[in-house]
Amino acid sequence: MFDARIQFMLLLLCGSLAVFVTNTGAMALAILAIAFVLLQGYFRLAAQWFIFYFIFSALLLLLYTVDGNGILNAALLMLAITSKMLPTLIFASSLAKVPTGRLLSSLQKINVPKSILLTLAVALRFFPVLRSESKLIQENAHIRGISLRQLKNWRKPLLLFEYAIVPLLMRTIRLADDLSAAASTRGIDAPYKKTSHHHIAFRTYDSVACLFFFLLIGTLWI
Amino acid sequence: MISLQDIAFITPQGEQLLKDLSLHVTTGECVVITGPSGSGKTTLGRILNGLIPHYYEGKLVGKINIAGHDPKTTPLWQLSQHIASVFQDPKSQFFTSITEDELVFEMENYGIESKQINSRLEHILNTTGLQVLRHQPLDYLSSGQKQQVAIAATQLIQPELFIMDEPSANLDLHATAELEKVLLQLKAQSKTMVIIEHRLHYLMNIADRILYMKNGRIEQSFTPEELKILPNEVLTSLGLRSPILEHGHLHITEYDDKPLFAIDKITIQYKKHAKPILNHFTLTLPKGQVTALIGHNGAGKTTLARNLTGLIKERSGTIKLNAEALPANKRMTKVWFVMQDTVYQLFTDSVWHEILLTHPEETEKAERILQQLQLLHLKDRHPATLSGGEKQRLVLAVGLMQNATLFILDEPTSGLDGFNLTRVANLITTLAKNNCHVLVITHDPELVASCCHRIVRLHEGQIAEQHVLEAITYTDIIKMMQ
Repeated sequence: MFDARIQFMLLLLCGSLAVFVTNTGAMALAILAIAFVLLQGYFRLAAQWFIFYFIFSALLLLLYTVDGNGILNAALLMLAITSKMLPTLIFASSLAKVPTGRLLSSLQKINVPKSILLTLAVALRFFPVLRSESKLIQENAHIRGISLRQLKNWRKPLLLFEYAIVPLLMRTIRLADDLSAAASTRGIDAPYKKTSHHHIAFRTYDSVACLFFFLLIGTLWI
Repeated sequence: MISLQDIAFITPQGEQLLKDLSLHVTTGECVVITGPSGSGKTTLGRILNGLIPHYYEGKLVGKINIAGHDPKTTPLWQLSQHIASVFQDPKSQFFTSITEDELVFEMENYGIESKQINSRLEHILNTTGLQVLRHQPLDYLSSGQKQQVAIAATQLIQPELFIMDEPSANLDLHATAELEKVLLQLKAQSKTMVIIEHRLHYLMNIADRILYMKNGRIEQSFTPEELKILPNEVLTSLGLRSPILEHGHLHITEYDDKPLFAIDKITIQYKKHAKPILNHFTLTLPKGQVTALIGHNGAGKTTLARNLTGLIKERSGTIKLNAEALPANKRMTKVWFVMQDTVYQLFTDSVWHEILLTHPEETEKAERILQQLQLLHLKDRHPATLSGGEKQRLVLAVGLMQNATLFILDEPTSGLDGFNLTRVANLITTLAKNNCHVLVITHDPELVASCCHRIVRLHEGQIAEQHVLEAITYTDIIKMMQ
């Protein structure tokens, strides 16, 4: 696994390049991104992205050849935008494999402001919670016959929305409250410069990741 | 170490939670605070760890000195360097994703040098036996391991005082025994501890004093020896759990023996797993009976419950209701599952709407059920404003509304005092008498003894032991649950 700081930089670079590159350039970005995932030893993830990207591009090419009407063109536009965003998502997916503690201390080392770090820490902590809580609630909604999965319920979308959101809010507000109470008894807002037990340092293998900087910028000329 | 003099606390809503409360704890002492729900124990704990007045607002009067500081004028992060806080639910106190990150979290916040962080980390990993869990994601740990990590995490900052709010609430007997060892270690290091708790048995070798709180006051004080010889009637009238694990008596009610549900050779296997969770599992659940389902984490209790509810399909085998096969998609209305945390099961804005949600026509029946479960007077209240016990009854009421005949209750007594334990036991008995079967997943021997007819222990997807309660003693139950 590469240094999280380089991964983060590459993610930013890829995100901004996506605006400027041509369609072929975007494809090159995606290939680089998949190679990047592969080089870190995430074979499964890389394979999944590869297959997904292949099918996605094929679909896109197919749509280009069809002489379409308004709706089709709108769909095409959406897909084209997505195809530009995909490389960034692929980079992000490998960054997501870094444990939060290591990620945060890496970001801290490149002087990301404390307020942003704290927000990020909370967000990272909360996404998995939201997902698992929401799954539990949907399961119970399913038992009661009011879940999103049952088609007949979509006749009353507002009510359905209420049944999905209200318990989730009730539950997460309480969890968030407990969590921030616990965090504040553990010095989360102490006015010290945070230290880290992670040894964040540049290793030889990381120079491979640095190569990607040039390769990524190179896509501008494709 | 702690000196509270004439404390009173009033919430912003004007509710007086504590009054005329004084408490003095010397260095190295271990004080247990117990008492019925709503007696102000948690509020007292929050004053001791500084969350009141810093995090929870309200009017706090009286003289306070904790570890040499006045919490009213000292910022919380400064207090926290002397006070370790452990909470009920480890899920809501972890801030990172991996054991070792969690252990060092607090030190990093205080800017302690990385060299020192690492040496303290190694030390704690070796003395607590957590070395094996070092790189484990916290999500994968059992409740007991989580609580061990939570306690170890507070120790690295080397605090003098530990405040724990029901640390055993989510633990089974085995994990509680482990918790006892950790606390004994802390006691051997002459740390000062204040432990708020309903379950008293595991604290008898640790506590120096047990304080009984009621209505926002400390009403009585016992030594462990005094508490142990209190007659049962006195314990019951105080609403206390038994201070001796092995002391308890079986309460056996009469029951029918007509089969209601028959689980016949059920096999359940998840796609990615090599071994089935349940393998040719067979069990009969008769009408009017209560069965306790016990066993360690991963024994298959939850999987069985989810299968009975119809959330997971069986690979092979059948489930029969009154001798008629009942496929998974038909089971949802016949089997009703009450989760430990009922928040997930309530969806609407009032008790009345909740019970009528899927049966808007049947108002008479709804009223009868609410009456039976003593909820009718709360008809217009928002479910979120109900007490824990009331929510539990409301979820049961919804099940009765659906004409469910099998009720599964998951840990219905975790974190409950003696009064509420009796109340839940009575409720279960009533439910079974309605021609239902009640299956209780529990690690609470007092609950098993007070309302169950049978006890079934699962181990690796098989029934390891099965007894009728008439045939065994209370001590046997404890042995089965350890």
